[in-house]
Amino acid sequence: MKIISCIKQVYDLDKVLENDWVVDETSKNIDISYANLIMNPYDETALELMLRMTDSSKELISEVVTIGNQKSEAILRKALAIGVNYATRINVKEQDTTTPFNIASLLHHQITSDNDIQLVLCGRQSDILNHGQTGQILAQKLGWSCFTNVFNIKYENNYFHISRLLNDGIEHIKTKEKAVITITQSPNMFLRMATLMNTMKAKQKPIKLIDLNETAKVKKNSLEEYKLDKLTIEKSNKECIFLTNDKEISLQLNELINNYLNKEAI
Amino acid sequence: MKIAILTNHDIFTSTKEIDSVLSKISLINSSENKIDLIYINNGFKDSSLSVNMINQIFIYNKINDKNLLRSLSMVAIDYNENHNPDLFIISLKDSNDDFVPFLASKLSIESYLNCESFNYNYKTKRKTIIKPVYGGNVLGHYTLNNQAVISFSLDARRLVTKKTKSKSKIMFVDYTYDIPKDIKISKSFEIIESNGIKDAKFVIVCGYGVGSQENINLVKEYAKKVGAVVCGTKKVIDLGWLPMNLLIGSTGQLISPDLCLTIGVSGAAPLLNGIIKSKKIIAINKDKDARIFNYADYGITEDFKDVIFKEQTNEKQ
Repeated sequence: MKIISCIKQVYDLDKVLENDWVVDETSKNIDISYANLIMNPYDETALELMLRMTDSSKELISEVVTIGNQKSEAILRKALAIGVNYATRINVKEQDTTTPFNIASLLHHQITSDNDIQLVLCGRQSDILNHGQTGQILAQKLGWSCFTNVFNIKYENNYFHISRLLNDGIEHIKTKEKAVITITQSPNMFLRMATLMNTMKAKQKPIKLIDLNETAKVKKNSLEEYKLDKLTIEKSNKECIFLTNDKEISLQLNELINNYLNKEAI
Repeated sequence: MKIAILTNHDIFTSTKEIDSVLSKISLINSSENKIDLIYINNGFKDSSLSVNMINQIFIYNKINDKNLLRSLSMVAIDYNENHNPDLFIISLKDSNDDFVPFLASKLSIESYLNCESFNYNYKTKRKTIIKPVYGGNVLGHYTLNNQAVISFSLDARRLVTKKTKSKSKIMFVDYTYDIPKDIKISKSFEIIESNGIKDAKFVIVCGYGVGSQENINLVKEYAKKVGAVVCGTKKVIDLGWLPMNLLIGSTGQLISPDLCLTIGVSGAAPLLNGIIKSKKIIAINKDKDARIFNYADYGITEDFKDVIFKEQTNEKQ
């Protein structure tokens, strides 16, 4: 039985300085190409959840799949180094992956080619266009159940135990059916580190390559591109007043709280 | 321009969720536009119900399917065949993220989650939406191709909508369908005690700079004294210092309290999106160059423990 984790290489937006968020008037784009390429944080959580499941049961096989150019193999190598069994890259041009329908179509093509796949994990969204819909559309295309906002999955006694956060509480699901699961942030679910030896070994492991030519027929049925007209950035025009030591800062804070909440002295 | 809002919120008790949706729609020449509400309710017979700005309320009263997504999608497809709206807006209790792509995929139309606003220009016939992209650092302006399904970001902000004099027309729909056999999935639900964030007037947001679980506990003690609710950024939740339902930001809760005090928050865009509508923001962060100060009304560059402990000492004196 196989679990697939769909992972994506993204720019580390935490490394982009506030002043660098500028839309280039000519290209109508934002140049953040200097930022590091990392694995999408939600995908990291999904990957760690998958590895914890495969750690707990020998009957589970793990695989990662990504869509992208050769650069994106870095995250596949990382996944192989921390214990994932197989890695696949779907080779496409960047412009072919701008809508969640296109991405879901490419993944659908890959997943339907392998009957062993029981569970597909996706991060809830990636950090660039923030569509957050790939997993759900994929589930609909596959005709499988879809569980969103999942923060924990365990595999026990041939069942997947899935926990997802809803507005008023936590839903616990027990199933052995095929499903697509989108993963949200999860407490203490940080991606494990690879040892140096495993990192070296991972460089020698094969990565299955699926070329665009093979998947082109899938794309013909996809929705046309979403029309992104422009990008804008809302800059704050606030002037922050810094509290200085002229008067005890804690007293100033106390006064501010009282003023804005219209309360008696605390 | 015809818009259909599909909801499962209890519209008989409160229409605040519908008001929230309506406050984000900007329709030029609004008399030319129609907004319908689609609702599933088997027991409802009262035709005096009216919702502000809604022309017609379609009540599907013969649906007995326990599968929520399927029943909603079947109803939406039936409505679509009969009324062909330009836009579906989805406002569900828990399932926007599930249902919007699901319906879009069924109807083969484009879909957008967590939009900030929708605009229709009557002259140019252009339908546009604005949604956060690049992790909330940037706003993307999209033109919708033809038909689309969207949802708006959930928020607890106080809203003002235009009041209309006209009354909604109630339409009862007797549509039914054959319910297929579902696969067996066992489900249970664990209720989490309400944290009061949505209605809180004073919220303290803890960031990674707070430093440890012990320090979070100190902030909680302080919050009790000043009558605030404590919540956290994604990093704080990831570290398990606070429970997940206390996450503030684009993927958590969007708040608009009278006062928001941030402690050890650097000011990443997803968090800022969650607190930006606060009436006043006070930020405590030792790094004077932290991004949060660009969005705060007041800034304190001291160690938060010095400020809070002194506060408590002063209080004792």
